[in-house]
Amino acid sequence: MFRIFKWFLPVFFGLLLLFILELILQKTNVPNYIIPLPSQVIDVLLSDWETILQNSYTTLTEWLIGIILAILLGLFLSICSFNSKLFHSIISPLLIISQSIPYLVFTPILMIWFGLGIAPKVILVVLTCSFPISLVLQNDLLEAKKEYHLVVEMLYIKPVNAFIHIYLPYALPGFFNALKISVSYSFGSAALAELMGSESGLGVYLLRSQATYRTDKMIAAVLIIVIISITSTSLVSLIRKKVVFWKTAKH
Amino acid sequence: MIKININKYSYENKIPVIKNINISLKEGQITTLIGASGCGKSTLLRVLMGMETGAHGNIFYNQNEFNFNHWNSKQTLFSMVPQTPLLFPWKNIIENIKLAISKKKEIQENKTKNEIALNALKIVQMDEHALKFPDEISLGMAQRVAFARALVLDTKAILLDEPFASLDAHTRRILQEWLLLKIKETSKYAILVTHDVREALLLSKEINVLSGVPAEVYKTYTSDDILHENKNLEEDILSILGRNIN
Repeated sequence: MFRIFKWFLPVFFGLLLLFILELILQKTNVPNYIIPLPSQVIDVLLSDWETILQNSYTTLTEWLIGIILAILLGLFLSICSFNSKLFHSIISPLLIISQSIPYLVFTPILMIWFGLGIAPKVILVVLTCSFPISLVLQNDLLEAKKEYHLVVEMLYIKPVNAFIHIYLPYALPGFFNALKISVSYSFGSAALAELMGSESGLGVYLLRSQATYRTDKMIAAVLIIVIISITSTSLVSLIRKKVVFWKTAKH
Repeated sequence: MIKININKYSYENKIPVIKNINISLKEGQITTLIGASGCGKSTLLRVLMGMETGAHGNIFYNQNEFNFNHWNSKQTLFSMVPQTPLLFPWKNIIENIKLAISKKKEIQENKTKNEIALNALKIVQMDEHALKFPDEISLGMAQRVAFARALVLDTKAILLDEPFASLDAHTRRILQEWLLLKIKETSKYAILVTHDVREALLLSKEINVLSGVPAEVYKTYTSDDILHENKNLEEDILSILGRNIN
């Protein structure tokens, strides 16, 4: 009950703003190609939904494959660096530096190597997501070892069991936080990469609408991207809540 | 009886941290090591647990001699209860215990891990709370679970590393008496490490006062000493500990 109420006011406020905007735009002579009426955008969503859906499907596929590969790669890197001090000392500084690289600028090069299909976008998503995930994961795994290795030694727990039952669960909250940030960020990256050249996708839809000055279509596409980003982060939060069910004891 | 002799222990052959430790443990009784903070008490326990290697000395148990150079018998001799319970918050109480039970024990006793864990929880009177999570129980209860976790390892002796240090005075008092009873009940040998003189006098049959770095037994009080001259003893030990500070 309280949750619904919490959302009621902001949503109502947003709708009110749109309504006022609609009224103002109708009274004034701002051309449609500069600012379209909110009702026109809704109209695009209702009439052109099939094309939008097809294009969203492409972008979603690139993004989901990318995320899954990024999680696997991130996990692999952090397990390696957890088990080998040498590997950790090599990879850790690189991962930290990698945080400052704007991967989007690699897209044109990736396109030369991998073509106009989904491959360069998938790789871009993997690049943007896997490094923050593995960075956080390996830090948390090492922190877990620091906190709990005494117990592991005390109870003579085998290394594999210690990893699965103790170190990995300890690192899960951090993993989900990293995933949450990368997930929302990477969907935008995938769409932006499509702007630079692609066969289909929300980026392509955006580009085509721009070429014909269909600002209403562009806003509709942007709206879809925003909605998917928000939904994905909320979904990750929801999964996090289900998986990380425990509270750290106060003592 | 378990007799522990450590002649010398040092990190990487530098200045010794532990020297001339001779202590004896009796079944169902607590032997205390008392010393100022940072005098090497915890290191001593880590040596006994086999977490630190390279100590010179030996341990006698039932006419068997164990040498620290070939310290492979650790699993049958010592287990430990740490200062804080260190339970895993993502596992409920019984799962926490089960993590310490080996496959070998399961086969040996012909019981499931669940039964073994529940049994241990019954001994520490925590079986009703088996399905709760660590954040749902008090610190005193958590420390009892940590004790149960040490019990399922089936070692001869339990090492208690200031197990009551983080408890409030009231809970500490109750748990101290509880511990005394449980050690007797389970016929375990026990080493208690503490810096609380009253705790040492209340719980132990033998008190070894350690002097500062390197940790060395400065004076040993037997059960007779403890029984007869309680008052003076407290002053005595305190003055020894105080001397080390200055």
